[in-house]
Amino acid sequence: MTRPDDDRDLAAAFSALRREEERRCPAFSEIRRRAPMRSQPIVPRRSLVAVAAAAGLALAFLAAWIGLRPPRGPVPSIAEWRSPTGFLLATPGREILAAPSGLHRSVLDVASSNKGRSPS
Amino acid sequence: MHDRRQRTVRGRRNPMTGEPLEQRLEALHPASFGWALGCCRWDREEAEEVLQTTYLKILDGRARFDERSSFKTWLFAVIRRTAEERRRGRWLRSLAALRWLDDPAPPPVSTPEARLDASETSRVLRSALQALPARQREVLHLVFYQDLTVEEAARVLGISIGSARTHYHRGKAALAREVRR
Repeated sequence: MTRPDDDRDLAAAFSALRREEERRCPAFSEIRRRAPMRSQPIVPRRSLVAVAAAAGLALAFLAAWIGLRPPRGPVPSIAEWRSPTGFLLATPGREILAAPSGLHRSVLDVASSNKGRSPS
Repeated sequence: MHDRRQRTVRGRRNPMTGEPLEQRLEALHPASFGWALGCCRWDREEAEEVLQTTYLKILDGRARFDERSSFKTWLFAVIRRTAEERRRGRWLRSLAALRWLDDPAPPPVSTPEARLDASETSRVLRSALQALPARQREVLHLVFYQDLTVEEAARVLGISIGSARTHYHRGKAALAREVRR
């Protein structure tokens, strides 16, 4: 791929930069001779100690909190449990739907038999 | 033990040309240093470490030239990968959660000597390049600084030629804007 003429300035600037950096380039032997860098651990030892101490403290607090909590009362049986929103299911006229309607029975009979009762 | 390793390393040859690997690396050393500088955002110390790690990787046989591209293209890809690995390691170390536990890392040093050496044009070009997205900066560096073709730059960066061309054109436009600023 050839570069158009208007790229010449850019190419000149880059080659000036290259000349400058080549002048300051360390010798190959110098780079090769240098002792291999000891790879730095990703997490420094001091940080690891601090993180471990913080985690230990957090665990100790959690254990103390669990140990000091007041004991709960007796656990209710599942059969006795009632939903807090259960009352919403008690709709008016529920009695009509409670039993299948008889062939020779009127809905009014059910209504009159319930007259004496208070509305739920 | 160390001497034996040194002898083995010196004796290792490029399977393609039969030329000792170390000689080939030495011939490309100035260009490699320039590319390492580009990969490390002109942090000289970091670039030297990247280059040293790269040479060790190659001479120890941890990075092998598979002759699928030119030696220079392959070497530049290894330098780039090494710089990336080091950058990733540094990023992990400087994670916000751990930063407060450590001494702050010293910023890249710009010595007065280095500042005097840098001509105004080079300084402007360097700071303009720093403002570009990494891919655009890398493609422009490879094409204009290293005289590679866009196709070779794509191979170094491990991207498609189409993508490299896009980065090349966008990078040029962005660089012109940055230099004019």
